[in-house]
Amino acid sequence: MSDITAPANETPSAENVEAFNRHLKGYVFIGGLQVLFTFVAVIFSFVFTETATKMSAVLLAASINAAIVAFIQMHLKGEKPFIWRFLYFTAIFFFFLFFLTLLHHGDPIAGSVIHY
Amino acid sequence: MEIPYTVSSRPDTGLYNAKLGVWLFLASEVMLFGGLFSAYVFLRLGAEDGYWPQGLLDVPVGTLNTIILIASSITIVLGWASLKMRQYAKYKLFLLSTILLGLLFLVIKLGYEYPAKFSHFGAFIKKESLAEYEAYLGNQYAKDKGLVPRYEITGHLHEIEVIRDGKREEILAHSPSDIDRLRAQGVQIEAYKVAVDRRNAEPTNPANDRPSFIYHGSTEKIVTIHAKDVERASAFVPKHSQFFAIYFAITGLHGLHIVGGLLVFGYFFFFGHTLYRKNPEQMANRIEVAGLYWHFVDLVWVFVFPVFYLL
Repeated sequence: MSDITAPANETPSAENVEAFNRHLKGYVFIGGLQVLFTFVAVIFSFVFTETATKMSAVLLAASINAAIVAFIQMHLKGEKPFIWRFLYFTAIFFFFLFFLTLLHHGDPIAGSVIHY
Repeated sequence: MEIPYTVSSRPDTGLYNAKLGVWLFLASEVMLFGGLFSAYVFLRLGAEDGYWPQGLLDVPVGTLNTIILIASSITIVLGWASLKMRQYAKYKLFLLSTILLGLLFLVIKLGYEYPAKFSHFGAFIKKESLAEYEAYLGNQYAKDKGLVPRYEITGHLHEIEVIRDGKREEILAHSPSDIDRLRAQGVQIEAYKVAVDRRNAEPTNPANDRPSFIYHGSTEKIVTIHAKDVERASAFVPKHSQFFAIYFAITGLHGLHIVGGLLVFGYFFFFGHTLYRKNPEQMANRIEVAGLYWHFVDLVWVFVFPVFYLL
């Protein structure tokens, strides 16, 4: 089986060039959106004074930014089910790690609370 | 022997092998950084009020680094698209831009941010001595306004008062690491003279109630802190606090990932031409998987930035 494809000196068609330029604009727009959400997170951190509200708002802006990276730039949106299957497992393990932390916070072992 | 499925998809997975490989690797990376972020949450929830520093990192610089990484993520995806279009010169330009942006990120981190931390000084005051330093901590004011208590005086270490061979001396401090050097020599430290930060210079100024967007630097107000009143004192290094311990662990590991990505991109930039001439689609796939890794590095920073700089 050979994996050799179109030669390096192949000239792209006018349609392909147009598609490329469309992609270019799209990705620049996505980059602009990410910068916007970065600024939104910064603004939220200074606008909100109450800790819980500030954390929720800033992390929401960061999560939207992360979703843009994962779904659009990393092409997860249209990715094969095979990848999604093991990413589900990763997500479960990932949240379990945080669950352990929350478990400790809710039910600390006596004398284990660490200061400074 | 030819390696199979470098371009075409495997029938059972629907993916070419490198793509499956990089996604498995990224899944393990999620666990690695997930563990560290979990440790961050653990330490933060366990920290007593006033012992989790806020406003010690430079927000504009962190924002700039975030924008640099976002820009590099865009340039690498455009580089990949150029390869797909067989526009090698454009691809090289985008790849070079990615490398330069990655290097700029590292220069800011290692050339500015880290050194600024290593030269900054903080002294946590013992609880029984807090009243003595009320003029610089403003705890009564903080209590009245419902703010967290203040235990630390920060700034730039100016002089160290010591007793050497039974004689009192004042040594001009070049950096907070001088403290460790003097202690190692068996010199007894009596006091620290610190050019304090704005928050300690004017602790009852409402403008200092919350972290400032722009770091103002130390003031010219010199405060003498007696060593007997200090719980611990150091530069903003990992031993300073659990905040800086986890900050250096996560940002250091992230920085190593940047270095790894730059090495791969550097290899493609200097030696990628041979593969491109032989099999351009395989080259495009290599850039795609390296790009996936680079996007992941960007994704991690998207959380590092708010967690350490903003919250």
